[in-house]
Amino acid sequence: MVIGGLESYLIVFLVMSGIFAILTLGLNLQWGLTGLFNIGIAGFFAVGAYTSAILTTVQSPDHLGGYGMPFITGILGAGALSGMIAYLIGIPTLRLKGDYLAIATIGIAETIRLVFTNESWLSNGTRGIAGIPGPLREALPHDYYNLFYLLITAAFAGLAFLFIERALHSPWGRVLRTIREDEMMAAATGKDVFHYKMQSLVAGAVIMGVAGGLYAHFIGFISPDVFKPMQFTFLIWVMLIVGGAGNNTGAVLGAVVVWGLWTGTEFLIDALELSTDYQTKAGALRIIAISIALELILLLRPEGILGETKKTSD
Amino acid sequence: MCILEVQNIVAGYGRVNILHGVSISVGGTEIVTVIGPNGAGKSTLLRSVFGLITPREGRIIFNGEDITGSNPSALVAKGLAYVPQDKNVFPSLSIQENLEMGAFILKGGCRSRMEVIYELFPWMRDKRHVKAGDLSGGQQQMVALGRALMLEPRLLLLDEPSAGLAPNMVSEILEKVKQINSAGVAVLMIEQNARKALAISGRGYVLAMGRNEFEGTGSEMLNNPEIGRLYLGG
Amino acid sequence: MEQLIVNGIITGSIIVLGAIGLTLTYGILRFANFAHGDLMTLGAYAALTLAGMNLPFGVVFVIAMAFTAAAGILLDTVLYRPLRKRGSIVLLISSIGAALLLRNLILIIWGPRMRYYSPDIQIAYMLPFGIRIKPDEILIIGIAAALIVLVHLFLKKTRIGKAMRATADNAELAQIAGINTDRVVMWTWGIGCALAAAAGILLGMEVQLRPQMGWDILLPLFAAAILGGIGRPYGAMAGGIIIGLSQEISTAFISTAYKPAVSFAVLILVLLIRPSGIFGKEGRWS
Repeated sequence: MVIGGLESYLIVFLVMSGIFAILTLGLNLQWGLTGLFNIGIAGFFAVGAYTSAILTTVQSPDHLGGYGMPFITGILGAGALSGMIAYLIGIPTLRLKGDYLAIATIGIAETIRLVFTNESWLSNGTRGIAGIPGPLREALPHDYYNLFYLLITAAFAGLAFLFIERALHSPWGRVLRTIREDEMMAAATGKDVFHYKMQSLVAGAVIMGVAGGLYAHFIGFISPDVFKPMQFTFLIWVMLIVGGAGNNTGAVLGAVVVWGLWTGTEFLIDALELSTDYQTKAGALRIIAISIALELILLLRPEGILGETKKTSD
Repeated sequence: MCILEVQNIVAGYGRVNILHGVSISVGGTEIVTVIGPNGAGKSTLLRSVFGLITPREGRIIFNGEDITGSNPSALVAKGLAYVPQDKNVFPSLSIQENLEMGAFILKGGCRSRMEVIYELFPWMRDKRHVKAGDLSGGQQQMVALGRALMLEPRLLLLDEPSAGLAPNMVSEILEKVKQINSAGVAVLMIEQNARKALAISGRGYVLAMGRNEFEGTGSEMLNNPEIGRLYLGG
Repeated sequence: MEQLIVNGIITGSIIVLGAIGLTLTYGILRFANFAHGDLMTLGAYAALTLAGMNLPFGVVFVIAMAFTAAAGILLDTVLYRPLRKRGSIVLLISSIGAALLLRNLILIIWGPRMRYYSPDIQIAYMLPFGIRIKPDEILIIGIAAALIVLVHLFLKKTRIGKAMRATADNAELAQIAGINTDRVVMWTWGIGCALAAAAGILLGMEVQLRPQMGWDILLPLFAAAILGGIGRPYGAMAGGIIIGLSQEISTAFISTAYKPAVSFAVLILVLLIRPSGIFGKEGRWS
């Protein structure tokens, strides 16, 4: 079987969609299910990407590393460290009003970006980390490697989906939803609200860290520029809101649709062969369009495209 | 003539109704006390009258005018004032500023009116620059009363003015309520200290489970053994 | 060290002006407005265009403030007001959208490159203790101090200023007292955004203009507002100076690149020890 240009592009698109779907699912657990407002997604993603990169790359004078661990160890490490950071952020903020978590997560994302930009010994600064290995990257032809990687991504996305889907219907998920709707009530029924929120925040961050690791191994190169905190985080939020917070299928659908529109317009801008100045402006126009779309959804269709499926058992 | 007539109102929060058809009336210069167990809907009744909740059914007539569904600022202008049970002062504002806020809708000054308040509560004059948040519970209650009186209301709605106060303070506050009333202001209040409140009231109502349970003059209620046993603590 | 303290006061005065607006809108509307930094940027760029028309500095300053105030009121009317009943988090999401919208509009109108109000390089004055300070920096501290005094008089002496403090204290009670809360909200946006514009212009004078400038300073603004206790303009003044000082003094020990992280560290410390802020009442916001 020969993979043509269009198919090859489609595979790359689907892998990226899958990674975004994992991120959106992680956010769905935190926000859709529990009502935790995390706007530091880019930070957790970056921690995952760098952790996995550092654990798996061969010795390099440019950055920390040389551990040469297998892919799966890198991915697990990515999730673990991201979860740990979420835990530390949760301690001061989860007992307070939701806005404080929002401000703190944006602070941690910014701090993480500063660390990866400035600590050259760790991350090679703005030049980034290259040569991140991927499973069977050497053994397979390029397009087939991508196809193989699509399967890996799909498997992780499927795992995240099943995990959150099960959580949704479990007693644990019901407690989280109660916390989202009415924290006082959850506390009044004797639930330790803080611990439930913490579990959701950390689990969501683990999922986001894993997505970061998957990204690093797919592209093979990461630098702090990839994680422009607001734009990236905002995109994930738009994906979830478009799909409908609280709905897993919606989260995945939102990720694919929004990523399609996002790369599609990027393709268009490239094809127009504008001068760099106009390219920047066209990029800005794209963000304006997506911001307006978000505001319109908030104003006119707050439940998203699919919305949360109402459960009669509630 | 009645200053306030509440006719069969049904009201509540979200999808839950708390009041299931309550009717009460307040005469032009009367003190009326509403008593009843917790959750009977007493606060909901006051909040409905003051437009903080829109009743789903029924009418509220104030001074001959249907005010059902009016918003609080419109009602303040019409001569209605309300003192909530707690958080009823602006803690970071001084006493004087709290009083000024009571007269916010007046574009001009409110000096003369403030003098009347200082005559009613002489201790406030010297402390007028003290932050309300630094005052004792009883003092805060008086500042809240003063704030509500700034526009010379026709009817004062009081939600448990003596809640959480020491016994001698309870008597003092109720004494002030009586004094305010004798100046021509009708009062509709909820009170936990039901005996003391009924003693200064012309009439009273018992509310239970969101419905009228009993009504009568203050002394009728104080002397009714069943009400005494059920609602006045023996 | 003396030099760092002076730098801290300069940065601090800019943060104070931004944080007062942030804390007022937060206190009165009960949501964290993430577009506040980008409103700062808008004010700074509006001043750039006005300065290009050869208007005197004072006129530029006042018109830019008025323009940004109008933009803030417009933003509230079109976007935030219809969403107000839906809770603070929906407003917060919407404000992030508004922030990106504003920033990218600015980028399209004024371009992505760095801009300066004046191409001239200023010679610093030499003061005792080896302190160097540029004429612009004296102007920054002076303007910030004058605006803070004006805000103080507004909040303490005017009817609407007192009503703003009352509404920040207890919005429901303000409504009960008959205060026209819609007008208070409008004034809050007006004052908050005018001060944001001033902060943006001063930041542009101290550093340079970039479409990202307001967003980059948002974290210190939040840190200052929370440190001073949300809804407390006087707290924000103290908080702003403290954040400014800690950012600058930290450069004696760690890389200057970590300045934003320093305000984040202070913020986390406050949240751990006293979330209601150093001047806030215990437990009010938890």
